Amino acid sequence: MSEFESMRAQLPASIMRGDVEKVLRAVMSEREPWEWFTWARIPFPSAVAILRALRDGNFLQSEHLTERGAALARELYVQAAPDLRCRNCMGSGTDWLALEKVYLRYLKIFEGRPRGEDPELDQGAMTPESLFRRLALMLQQGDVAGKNIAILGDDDLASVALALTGLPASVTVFEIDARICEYIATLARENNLDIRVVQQDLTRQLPRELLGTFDTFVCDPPETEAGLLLFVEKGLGLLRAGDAHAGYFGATVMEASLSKWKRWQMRLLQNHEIAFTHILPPFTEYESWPDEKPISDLLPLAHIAARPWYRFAFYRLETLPNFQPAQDFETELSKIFYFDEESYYEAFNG
Amino acid sequence: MVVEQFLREAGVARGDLVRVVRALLEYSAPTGAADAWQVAGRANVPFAELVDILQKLHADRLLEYDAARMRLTPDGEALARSLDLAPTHDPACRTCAGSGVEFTQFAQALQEFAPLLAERPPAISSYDQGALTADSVFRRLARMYSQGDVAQKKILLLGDDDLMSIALALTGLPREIAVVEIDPRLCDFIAGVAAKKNLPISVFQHDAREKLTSDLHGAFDTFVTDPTETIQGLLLFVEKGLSTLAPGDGRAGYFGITLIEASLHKWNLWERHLLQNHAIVLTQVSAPFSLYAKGAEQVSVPQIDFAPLSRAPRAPWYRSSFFRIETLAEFVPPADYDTNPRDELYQDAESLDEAWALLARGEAQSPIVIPEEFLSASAERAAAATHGLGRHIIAEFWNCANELPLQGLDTAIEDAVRDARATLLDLRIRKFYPQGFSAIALLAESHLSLHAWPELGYVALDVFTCGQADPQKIVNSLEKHFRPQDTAFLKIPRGRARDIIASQVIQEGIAT
Repeated sequence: MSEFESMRAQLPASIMRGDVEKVLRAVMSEREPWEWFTWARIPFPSAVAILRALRDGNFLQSEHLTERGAALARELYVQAAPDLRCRNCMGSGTDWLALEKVYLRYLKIFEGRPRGEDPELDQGAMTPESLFRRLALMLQQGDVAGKNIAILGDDDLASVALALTGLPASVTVFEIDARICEYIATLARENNLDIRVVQQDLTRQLPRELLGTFDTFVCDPPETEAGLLLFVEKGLGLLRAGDAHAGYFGATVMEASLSKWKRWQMRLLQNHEIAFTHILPPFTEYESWPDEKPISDLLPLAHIAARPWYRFAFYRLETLPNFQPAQDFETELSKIFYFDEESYYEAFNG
Repeated sequence: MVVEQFLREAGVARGDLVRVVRALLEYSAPTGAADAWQVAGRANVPFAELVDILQKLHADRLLEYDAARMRLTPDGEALARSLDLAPTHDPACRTCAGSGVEFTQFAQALQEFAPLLAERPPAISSYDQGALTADSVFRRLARMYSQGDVAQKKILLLGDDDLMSIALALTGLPREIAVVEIDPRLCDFIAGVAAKKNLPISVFQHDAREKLTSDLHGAFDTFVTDPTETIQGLLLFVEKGLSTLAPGDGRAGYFGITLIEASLHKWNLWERHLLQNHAIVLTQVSAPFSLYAKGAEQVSVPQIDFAPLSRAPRAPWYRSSFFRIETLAEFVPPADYDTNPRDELYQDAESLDEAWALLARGEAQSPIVIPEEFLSASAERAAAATHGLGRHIIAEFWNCANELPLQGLDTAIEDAVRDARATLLDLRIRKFYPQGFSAIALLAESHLSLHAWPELGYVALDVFTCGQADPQKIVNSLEKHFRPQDTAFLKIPRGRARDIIASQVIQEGIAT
């Protein structure tokens, strides 16, 4: 029996050879253990299961591969794949230095934001630098200046950053959390920013008069299949008919398998007149969140990360000339909407 | 309303005008005037349309130029403002030229590689050649390397006028490299360099329109190709690439696509077709960072009545986005195929050469013709999307005139099922005390259920069928049996019903 076959026997059948290769490659490439999850590019619970199997099979000791682990890597033809992201833009391809003044103003506001994210609502904020990298990309694509922008869910205060640039024609936030709505509305008043806040549960219908009236939407959907589609298709319902309108959304491979990515992509391409113009590597980083947990039985991960490690890829889609805003709908979604078997929290169950 | 008039007269989309004017502003920002070829590269508008827009801007005195450089006139700046555009810089990262990666690690390989580009046989446009700059080759390579698709991998290059095979081999990382290339001069050149430098590259001279040799099928971890940009041309190259990948998950394919020769309409068709027909997923679509030396090498320049574009570009301007696809666990390499000779592989109405020829003749660009098989496939997809996995009808019968509905109900159901070309597997009818009855029919194609309240003259009917059986026919037959005066239906395409149920329920007000 090969090294691979012997370790494979310890894993659930849903874990593929390619998944093991990815985790091995991440361990060989990254010194910071929490970074393994970004570069493994498979759902967090699967990566944790593989790390446990590697440890139990004596392939991994602390954060290093053992002799046996190295033999397994050779058997699978796995070698290190270093992080070659540009250090200036962290892989986003855009430079936000031109927005520095706006950034400094935003930073002050961001640091004063109320904490106590609600894990039930899958909240968590990206780092200000990440947000400004996104902003630079949106500017570069011409989706900000003079545009009516809709933000679906705004625990990052992206609306504030956008409004501070003074470039959009309008900024509208759809947010379920009354505290965030109130906070953004207050900020807008205090800083004389033109932001409209709509307290909105996205499973319910959007205000009819706002459908089909925006040029750009941005959202960070939950990572379940239904959750992502709900956010993005609500976004597509807000865009105006016709070409050259844009939608942006973050998606991670840490809580969504590539099979799920494929289902999203197919569904969006089949049902809407759009094309994906960008799927950028995970340059968006999340701040640590209140119930972030260590993995106590895995030594290198037994303390929570010192630096942000949870990252997102960033999608841009653009509408084609025949595009019509998606029909609005209501839906009954329970907890499954936020969490499924690929969610972060699954790794801590059982 | 200057903008509206301009768009009407020029017959262009607002989005495209915005892109061209924005590119003009960006490239004017540093020195006050923009290089026309750089604007053409940045605007992300098909070339012929770009020229139309620039010519019209010039004719309307919104744009002025000398030699290769252009600037907006004060009226042009006013137009920009009414498009909500202000002077701006392209925020592309200067450190990595927008690619998001660094390749300093490969400095030595680059040093060895760069001189080879000058020795390479000159590009021939009939092979759709036009090679990447050395930096762009290494940026692509760095992206591939950091995704784990290079080290210890078996890599296939499908067409290699960029000499990426040599760049890859010089890093010493891949396990094996194979090149499939139509041009015998390039084949000789690559084989010669490989022999001289002792690089692990196998070269196969081959026309990609014909089937590959069977030993290449399902044998590689990674493929890279720069396809032609007609609808079938791109699919031919990418699907050939897929046929060379080993089965299973975690293999990768890379290809470049432009917006200069392909509208987003084609992007949509390609993305959809590839996802639909293969167990793959799009994992990256980069910004258009890959620059081609094509322009700089161009011997002939387009004969266009627009001076700044009638001289050869001074620097690379033509660029493409780099796609990465990854295989899923269910992936099986598709069968290779010979091309249909009628397929247009190299040129269509959006191609650069075609655009130049049209512009020289003073003709307008004609829209892209979508091949018939795409339209029919797309209609089938649309039908499938509407029907979902099966069709479900929930029917309400009120004020039924048949006062003895139990009599002959079994025959009525059997006939209804037969008429709808469905197969009855089992039928149960149950009468309740003091009144009312239910019927359940198990069909090979799903089910039928019926609950009657004779005292109210009301029947609740539920018919669900998959495949070709038509549930509406069953409902219609049973309607004849019960003879209701009022009916209502809710049709649900099962399998894609989540949003539909919600919207129908709200529209028709059947549920609260």
